[in-house]
Amino acid sequence: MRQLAWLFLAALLISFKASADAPSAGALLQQMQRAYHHYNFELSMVKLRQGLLEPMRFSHGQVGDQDISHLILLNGRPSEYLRRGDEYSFFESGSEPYTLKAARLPGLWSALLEMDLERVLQSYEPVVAGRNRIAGLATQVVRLVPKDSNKYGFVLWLEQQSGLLLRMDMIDDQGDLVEQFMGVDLRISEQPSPWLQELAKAKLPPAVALSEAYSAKPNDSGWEFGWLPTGFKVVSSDRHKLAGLEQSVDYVLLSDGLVDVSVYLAPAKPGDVTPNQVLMQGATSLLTFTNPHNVEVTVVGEIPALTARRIAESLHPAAVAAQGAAHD
Amino acid sequence: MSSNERISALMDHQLSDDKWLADLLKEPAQAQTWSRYHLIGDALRDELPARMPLDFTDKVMAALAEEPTVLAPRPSRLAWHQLQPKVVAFGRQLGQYAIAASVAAAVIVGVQQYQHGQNPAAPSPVLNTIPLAGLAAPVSVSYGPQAEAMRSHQSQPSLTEEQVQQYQQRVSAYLRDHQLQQRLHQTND
Repeated sequence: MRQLAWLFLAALLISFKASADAPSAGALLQQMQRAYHHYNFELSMVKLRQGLLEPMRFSHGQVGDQDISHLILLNGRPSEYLRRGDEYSFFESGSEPYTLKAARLPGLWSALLEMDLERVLQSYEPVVAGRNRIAGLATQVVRLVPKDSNKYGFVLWLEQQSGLLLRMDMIDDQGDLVEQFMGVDLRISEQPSPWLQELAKAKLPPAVALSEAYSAKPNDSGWEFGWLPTGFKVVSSDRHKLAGLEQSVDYVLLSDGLVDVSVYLAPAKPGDVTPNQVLMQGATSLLTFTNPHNVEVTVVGEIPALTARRIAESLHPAAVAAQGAAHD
Repeated sequence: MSSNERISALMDHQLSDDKWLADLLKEPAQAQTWSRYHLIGDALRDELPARMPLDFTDKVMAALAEEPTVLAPRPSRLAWHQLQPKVVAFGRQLGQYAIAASVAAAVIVGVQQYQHGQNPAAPSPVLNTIPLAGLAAPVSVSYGPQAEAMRSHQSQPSLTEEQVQQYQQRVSAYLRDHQLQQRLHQTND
C-alpha cells in the first residue's frame, strides 16, 4: 500500500513537471508554421460553410531545393493552386492558367500557415485549449482569441507529434461556428509524393511579376477610416475597374495580418437597386451601404457583418479638408 | 457469332469475355448498338423514363472532352503547356482583368436587406431574402426557427428579376475582385 502511495506521488510530480514544460500557445503556433515547411505531407480535408461541404487536398513537399505546396478542390469544376518557391500558379476551369511571382494561395488555411505570427499576435491572444483527436491523431488545441470582439476568433487543432495544422474553426463572439476546415486524413512521408515530384518538374506558365499583371497605380482615395477593428491597417489603395462591370472604383485593402477586408467606393447611382444590403457566406460578409455623401461603400471580407457596417459608416472625407476647415 | 449477336449475348449475361467487352466499348458503332439494345430492352420492360436523354453518353463524353486542362492527374494532364504562347499574351495584354475573370464565380446563396439602425448580424424574421442563383438557403449565421421564417419570406416583390440579376452581377464582381486582391498581396507585406 505504501509503495502504491509513492508511485502515485511520483506520477503526480512527473505530471506537474510535464505541465511546466508544456509549450506555450505561441510556441505551438511557431511549430505549426515550421512543420508546414518541414514535412512532406498530404492532408485531405473538408471545408464547411453554411451547411455546404467542399472537399479539398493540401499537400506539401521539399523536392530538391524547391518548396512546393499544392491545393486542389476535389468536387465540381476543377481548381488547383500550386506554389513552387515564390511562384504561384493558378489553374481554374474556364480560363488559361497563369503564374504570378510573390502572390498568395487562396484561403484562410494557407494564410494561417504563412502569416507573420508576431504581427497577428498583436491583435489575437493565443491560448492553449487542451487536447483532442482529429483525423485519428492526437492534437493540441490552440485558440486565437481576438483582442477586439468585432473580429472572428480561430480555434486550431495541431497534430501532437509534428505540429501540423489539422483543423481550423472560425467562430463568432458567441462561440458559434462560422466556417470550418476539417482535416480527415493526414499522410506524412519520408519522400514527397510522386505527384509533387512530377509537379516540381512540370513546365508552368511563365511567371508574371505582379506589377506586370496588375497595373493599377497606388492612389489615395481621399477618404479616411474613422474606425477599424484592432490590428487592421491599410495594405494598399488604388483605383481600378472591376472585371465584369464597367465601373471604376476607389479601392482600399485592409489586413490584420491574417484576415483581409476590401473596401470599394463608387458614386451612388440614382435609382440603383437595394442600397443597403448584406450578404454572408460562411465567414465572408459583403455589405453595401450608401453614405450621407452619396457614395456607395462596399465592404467585403472575413469579418462579421456588423463590423463591415461599422467600417463602412466610419469612412469620411480625408483630413486635409477637415484641417482646412479647422484653420478657417 | 456476329458482333450484334455477341452484344445480345453480353446483355443476357451469357458472355464474359472481358477483352471483347473492352473492344466493344472502344468501337463507337458497336457501343451504339449496345446502347440501342439496352434501350429496346428497357422499352420492352416498360422502364423508359418519361423523357429520353437520347445521346446521353455522347453528351457526357463531349462535356468531359471540353473540360479545361488542369493539373489533375489524367492522361493529357500536362498538355496545357502547349497553350503557352497564349499565356504570355495574356500576361502582357490583358493583365488584371484576365486574372480577375479567372477567379471562380462565387456561389451566391442569398442576400438580405437591412434598414438603417438595424443590426445586420441579427436579422429579424421579417427581413427578406432574395434567392439568388436559384438557391434559397438561409444567409445569416443564425439558424433555427428564424431561418425557417426567413425562408417563407423569400419573395421580394419590390425587385424585378432584372434588378436581382443586376445586383447578383455586382455582388459577384466584388467577391471576385476581393479574391483577386488577396492573391495579389502577400499577408506579410
